[in-house]
Amino acid sequence: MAEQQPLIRMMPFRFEGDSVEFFRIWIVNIFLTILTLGIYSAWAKVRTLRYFYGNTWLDNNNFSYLADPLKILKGRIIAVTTLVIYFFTWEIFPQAGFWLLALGVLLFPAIMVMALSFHMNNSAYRSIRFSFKKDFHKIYMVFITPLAIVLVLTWLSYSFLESTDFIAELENQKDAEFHKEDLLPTVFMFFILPLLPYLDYLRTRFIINQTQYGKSEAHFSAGGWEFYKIYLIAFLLFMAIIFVATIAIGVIVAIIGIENGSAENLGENIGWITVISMIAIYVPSFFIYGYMRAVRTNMVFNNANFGRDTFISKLKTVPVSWLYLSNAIAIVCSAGLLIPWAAIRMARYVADNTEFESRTLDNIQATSESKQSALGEEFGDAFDLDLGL
Amino acid sequence: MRLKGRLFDGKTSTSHEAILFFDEHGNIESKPSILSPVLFKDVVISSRVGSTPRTITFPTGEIFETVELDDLNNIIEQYGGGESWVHLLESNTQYVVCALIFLVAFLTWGSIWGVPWLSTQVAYALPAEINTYIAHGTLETLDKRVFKESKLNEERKLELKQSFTALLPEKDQLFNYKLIFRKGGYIGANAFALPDGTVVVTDELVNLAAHDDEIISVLLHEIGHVEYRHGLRSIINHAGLTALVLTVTGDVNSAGALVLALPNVLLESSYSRDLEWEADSYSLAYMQNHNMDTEHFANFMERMDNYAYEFDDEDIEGNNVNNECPVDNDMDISDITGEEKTDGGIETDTIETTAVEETQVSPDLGWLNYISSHPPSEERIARFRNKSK
Repeated sequence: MAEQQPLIRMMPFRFEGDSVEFFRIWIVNIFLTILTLGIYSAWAKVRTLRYFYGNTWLDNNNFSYLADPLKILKGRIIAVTTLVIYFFTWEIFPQAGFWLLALGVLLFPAIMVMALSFHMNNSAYRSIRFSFKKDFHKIYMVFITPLAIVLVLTWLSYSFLESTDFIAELENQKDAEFHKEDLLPTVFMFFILPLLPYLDYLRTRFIINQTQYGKSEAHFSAGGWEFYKIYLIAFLLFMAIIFVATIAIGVIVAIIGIENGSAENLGENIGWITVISMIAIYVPSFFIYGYMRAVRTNMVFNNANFGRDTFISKLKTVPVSWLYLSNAIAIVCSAGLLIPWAAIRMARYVADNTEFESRTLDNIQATSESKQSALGEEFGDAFDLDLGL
Repeated sequence: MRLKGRLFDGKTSTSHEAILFFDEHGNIESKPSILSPVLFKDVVISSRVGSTPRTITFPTGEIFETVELDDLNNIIEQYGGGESWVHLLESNTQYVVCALIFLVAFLTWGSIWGVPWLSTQVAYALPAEINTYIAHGTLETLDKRVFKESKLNEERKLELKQSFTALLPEKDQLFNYKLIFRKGGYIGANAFALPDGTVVVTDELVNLAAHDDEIISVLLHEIGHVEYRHGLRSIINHAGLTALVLTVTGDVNSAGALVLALPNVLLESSYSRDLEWEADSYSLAYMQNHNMDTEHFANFMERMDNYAYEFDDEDIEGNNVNNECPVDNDMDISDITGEEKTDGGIETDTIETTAVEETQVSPDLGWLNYISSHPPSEERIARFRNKSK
């Protein structure tokens, strides 16, 4: 008998959450959080995540979220205290602001690793937990070279600009609005912006390569240029939208001006002009957001493999943009009451367009359990850390 | 009683169909008999979240997962257990409706009255020195970014400083009041109060006034800002509103991150308008008590209005009417102080701006008034004019 070929199975993700059911959980969460002056928020978070994980199905098995609310509460208390101290220090000693910021930037990678580790260790599928290899040394090594290059280049360029006569002249002009320190952020941006897709690549690769499902290790196979391609198109889209929107606003203002015959009436229409301008800029920005979300997610997931198993993500720009836009409108018009509905339909769309291609899923071994602290996770929350996956 | 589900060994991702049998003595047995018999009191049953599957974890590490939620409920009840009270709240429509009504009422009350009330209480409970701390560094920033050295002659300055000292509240002065002069540059005629009692008046404002009582009415308005601790109250108000919005949107952050700023903008500009009105009240009451003509404030506001429009006209018709120091009435000091801070990437701009309270004219912009930081000038002028003899 011939050697048996591994059976390849295409398994679609399925999301079974229901808006009304989640609305009940959501409203009780907020109610109890207010009643307990915020303490219940840790339990609320666990219930919300358990609802979303528990309703996400793959091959007739659901995911589960297993975090202990008490650990999250501890983490939250520490994170909030730190933030309050941070902002008070910032307020009272603005001079220390730079050093505080530097400290924050320096600690950020470590906090990110702790957050990911806690999150993964409490996510499970088929009774097997995910895990994250906490390698603090590695995360710093990953970012140190590109950031050092940017800082050195910024410093060299700034020193050079500072020494030129042109800058001195600008600054010495009477009533000049120009200060040479203003140049520093600009020079920094000039060097860091072209590097952003690469930094995103490094971060994504690090996160996926450190992830395990049981004993099965994840591997990220995309290259840096995949990120550049996506960011470049998003940037061009952004420029195109600004260009078209500016012309459109100009035409509208001109038409209103001509109808009223005088520029003085422009003031009365300023409200409408503001609204039209906001729509012209704001609505297309959802499209860029949707593009980034759809295309970047597809690229990242399609290149994330567990051994020979892989994800297939098929999000599309227009539906994702529409989801973001219509969700935003619904949330504004309902004064927030449609937040649960919006979250459910987004989760459903993503699940409906994601598949897992498996050869080995039945035989994943569990690793030994390890204790995790929720501190990192809550720092991540407090700083609005987007895990970007 | 029997319960259908899937049994995981807790070590691999493999699962088997299984049935658990529960007898009246609290023994659990499985079929097929993979498990050694175990007592009901020794297993851990996950709490119910919506209609997601629940798990029974055995002391030996095996996990049994079931979607037969009603059957499981009956079994738990048979052993004298019950549903978790959180799930009872969530599944009872009456409770959910009550929670909803409570939340709508609480959030409306909280954002319109509760948080402003609390801000006032906290601001007055804190030691007055806090006001000095929050003003720290603000003047330096403004000097660097906006102001130029004052060109007024020393006699004039001294004269105004004497009038200013005479205006100060007599008994237990908590604030270190001082009046300083600066050339406003591109912000033109304006006055600012820092929370520590420093009042800044621009040369342009002094020159614009036709009567010293006009300047005095503005100084009173600024003293009102300091006396009523508006800087500190705004900071606390901002923190309170942020906490309220986070309570509602916290865990479901992907749903509408782009629209969450809106309620805060509306509520904070409403609060800012209330504070302006209160500062006006201070000025009005003082002038009435000291038999000054309140008409002066109205006149000055009108002059500020015209001054602002003259600049607009000049801009449109190229007619150099008021060339020295144009005022841009859309210019908000927050644009300046905020800019400095956002360079650092931390969003303290709103906090920083609130450390400054300024005199500003606001034309009536129809419904756009809802996002204006100052009440419409017409209303403020009418108020002072009505009280004029």
